Amino acid sequence: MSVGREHAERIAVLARLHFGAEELDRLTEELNHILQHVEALKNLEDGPAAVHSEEGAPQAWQRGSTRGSEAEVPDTLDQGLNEVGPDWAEGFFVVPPLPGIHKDEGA
Amino acid sequence: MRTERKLFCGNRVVFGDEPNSHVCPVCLGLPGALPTTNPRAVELAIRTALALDCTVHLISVWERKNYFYPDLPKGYQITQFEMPLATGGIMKYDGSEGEAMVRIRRAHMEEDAGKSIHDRIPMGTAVDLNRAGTPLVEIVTEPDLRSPADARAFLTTLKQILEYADVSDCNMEEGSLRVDANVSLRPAGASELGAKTEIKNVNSFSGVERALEIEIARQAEVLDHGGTVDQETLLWDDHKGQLRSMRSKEDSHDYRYFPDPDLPPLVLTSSLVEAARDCLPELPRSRRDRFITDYGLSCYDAGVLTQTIASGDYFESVVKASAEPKSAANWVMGPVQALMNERCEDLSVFRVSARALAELIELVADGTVSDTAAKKVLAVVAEDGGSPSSVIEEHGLAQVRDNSQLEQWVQAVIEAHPDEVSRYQGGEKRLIGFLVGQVMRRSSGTADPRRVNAILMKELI
Amino acid sequence: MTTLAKAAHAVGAIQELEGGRTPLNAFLAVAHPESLVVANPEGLLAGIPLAVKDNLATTGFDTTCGSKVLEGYRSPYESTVVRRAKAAGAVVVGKTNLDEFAMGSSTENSAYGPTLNPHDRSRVPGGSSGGSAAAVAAGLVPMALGSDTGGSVRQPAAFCGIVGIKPTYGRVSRYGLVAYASSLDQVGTLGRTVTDAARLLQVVSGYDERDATSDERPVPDLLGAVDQGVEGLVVGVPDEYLPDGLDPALRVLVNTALGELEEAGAQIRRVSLPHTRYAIPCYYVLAPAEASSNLSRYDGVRYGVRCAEADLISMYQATRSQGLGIEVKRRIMLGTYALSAGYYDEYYGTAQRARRMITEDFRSVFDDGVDVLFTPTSPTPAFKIGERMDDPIEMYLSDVFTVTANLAGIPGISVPIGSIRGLPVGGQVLAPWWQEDRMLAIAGVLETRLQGAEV
Repeated sequence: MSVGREHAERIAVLARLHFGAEELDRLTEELNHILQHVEALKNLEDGPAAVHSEEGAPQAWQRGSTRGSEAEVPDTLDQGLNEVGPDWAEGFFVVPPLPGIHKDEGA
Repeated sequence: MRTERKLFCGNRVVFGDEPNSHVCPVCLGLPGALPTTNPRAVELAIRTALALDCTVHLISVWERKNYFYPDLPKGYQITQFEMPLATGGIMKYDGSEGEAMVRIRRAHMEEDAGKSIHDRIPMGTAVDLNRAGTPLVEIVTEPDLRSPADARAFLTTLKQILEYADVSDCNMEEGSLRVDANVSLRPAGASELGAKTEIKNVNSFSGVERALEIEIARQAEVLDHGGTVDQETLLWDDHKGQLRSMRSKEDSHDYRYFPDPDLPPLVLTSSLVEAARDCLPELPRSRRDRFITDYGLSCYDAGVLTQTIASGDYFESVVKASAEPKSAANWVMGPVQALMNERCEDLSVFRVSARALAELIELVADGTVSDTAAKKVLAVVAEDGGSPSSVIEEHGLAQVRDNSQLEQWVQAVIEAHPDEVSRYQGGEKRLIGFLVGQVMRRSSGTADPRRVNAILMKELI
Repeated sequence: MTTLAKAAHAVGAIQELEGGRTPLNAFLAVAHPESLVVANPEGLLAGIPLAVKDNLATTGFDTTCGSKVLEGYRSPYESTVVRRAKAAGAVVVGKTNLDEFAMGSSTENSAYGPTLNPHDRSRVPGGSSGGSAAAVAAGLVPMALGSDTGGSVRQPAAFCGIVGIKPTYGRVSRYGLVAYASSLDQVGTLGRTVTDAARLLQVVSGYDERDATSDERPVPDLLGAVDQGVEGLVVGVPDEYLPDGLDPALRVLVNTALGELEEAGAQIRRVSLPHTRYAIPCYYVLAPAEASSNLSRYDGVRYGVRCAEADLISMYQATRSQGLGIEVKRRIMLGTYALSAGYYDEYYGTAQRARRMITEDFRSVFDDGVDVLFTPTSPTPAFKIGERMDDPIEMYLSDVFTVTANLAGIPGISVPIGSIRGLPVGGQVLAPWWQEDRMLAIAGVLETRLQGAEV
């Protein structure tokens, strides 16, 4: 399975990364080189997947749930968000507008 | 959902406060922060699923939905995808053609994003993350709805059910209920669904209905002319009453879902689910049906009384305090509701207790006080409290039944209105109403109007 | 010495070395002598100067993760492990250099320049916790915190001739550890001796309610374990970790170490972990996949560096393209691809299967009476700076003996077992889940008997 340049461009868009033409070519090559090595996985026999094995998994995963109570004390912030945020005005984080359409995508 | 805290951190869920005042490393998506699941949110979500008759899965999995947006702090939303909390439910509602059913495909939990405000700061978008992390339940129906009116009816019932279950405020203006409507057309008799469009950004049930009507008309026009409908997302503009396409340049819909490695799968016990089931009240339709059989009410009346859980509780309490159901229903739906509207109150602050109302209804039934006077009594109790009988006494509102007193008033009226009397005796029988009214005035409303009517008729033969 | 004196001395030594003519570039930030404080003079780490890898959130220092995108970022909250270390009396004297966002095996991927190996300044100290390893190896601090996702504590420990521990996944809180690959990351400890590394681990270990992946099991007596001896323990040696092409000098060191363990009362047994060959391909699908998602938050909106642009999309692209280094971008691309529609089953899905099988390999061996496993930590000692930067695969292969422990979640430790051509070499002990004490016992014996590499 190899990645063509156009495909690499689409991946870059998904990841919000931008590359110059040469850089993208080189990256595409490197990706394919790595993917070649990953191909070894093809020889793997069938079987189930698991993110964590039951035994080795932290107990939380077996208890499988939620934090102890609803009211966990939120961790305090040592400094104001106005000091942390790159652009801050009137209590909001400010970002440049979307190109073109205004939208309220929501969840 | 109506939880105190957010889904994955301990910040309070607050509406309308100073921007970015209820945030912490977790909901800000700061480097190194990690989510922990709110058990109350899980409980309410289970309740929601049960209220919709869904199968609750004891194991469900948190997944990451990856996309970039300024009010999505982590660059992904924690949601449930392949293994949601619940599937396969069903909901009955009253559609345009009678009782109808909608199948519920799934219900799952996810966290809300923050708010992006586009017109607050010139040349920029303002981002408030107070809302980021608020627990949500997403409910998806099967494509069972057949008209915009049905869609609206479905939503009305859904809201009612969720209010009964006490899981959400379901307020579209405040954003605690959001609706995305998918619509497609197909030729009559065809089984395969047509291409669908998705309508977003509606903020009222009537908006949903209108938007759907407009879009159905548009699709019909396209299809009638032999065209095809493009699968797209449309935004509703309530001001203009228009839909516009939200075409974006990039192919933004590869969300690259994968199980969130920071959270264990959600594992529930059946006792937890049963406990949630026990917390569910009698749901609106069941209650309505029971009111019809137990109290002999009409379907309409039972429907009005079970509109909210509070009104149903109130009505039943009135009946249990020995009022006759039909009267109780009329009083609750009529004068009580009117008075509450006037006073801008709801049952949680209304001072006329069920017991007091039952007492008042009794007093009207046995003739102690007239219907009209009773409404005054109601108003006084609502304002000052107290019992109806003491109010009647204090304000002298008891109905006068003493015939000699009544005859006195009747005589006085006959003497005062000779014109009307002779017209009545000449054949204008409707004037009896006027004359009764005059007696009522003289008695400050306390005369028993039926008796007055009888006496007048006797006198004027 | 007063409790603050050690820390003050350390700061002085760091400033002298790093400010001098032959800096190691181990530290990205150093404490101001006036700001040093011992929060707990009676604690287990009272007065001990501690170096902290720069991907652990601290409020007293910036947290850059070795990246430009977080240049100047001061975290408004502190990581649990640093909180606990301070509560036990440790004094954080500085933040150490690392491969950007912990992605790398040599610390050459830092946006702030590579760190040099104190044993041979023309060579890498290993990575990604190279700064922490170099700081300990150079004698600037006795202990340091690092992080290990595919070997990033054990391998630099081996390259620098010190001790490095990766605990069982879930043993130590990740709250405040900037995520690279969430299901593989663990905070690890580095020390001049096994005891030092164990002491630090003892302090920072244990359940944290702010980390849903942390475990509630009680922490065993790790310090006590170091001296408990290895009588009767069965040490497995997996064939796959001593392949035919292995450097013969390395094989000699391994056998010598095994000989010492036998003399100390352990039994040696050959075992096989047949799915080992899938470990690197598996790791290099899973880790980048998780990373591609974990790093989406570096978008210039709420913190960190932002490249101002007229519209949002351009801002995202410019911030991330200019702020993130090439290796990070490579892994984000790889990870995004592996998760993308149509490729998920083939890559991510298959890698998850491989992960389970690798884990099963360990489980069967441990179930079969093997108490611990012993392997070389790395196929080679420290390589030259620049030597592996041309071919990412070559760099990835330096993790071949360490990634399996992260994939399975088992604990591992690297201890010095000698040197090859003057360069330190590490031996790795792997233990079953939650049995760090066993692995420390083996490490303790090896340290005593082999005297370790000279620091």
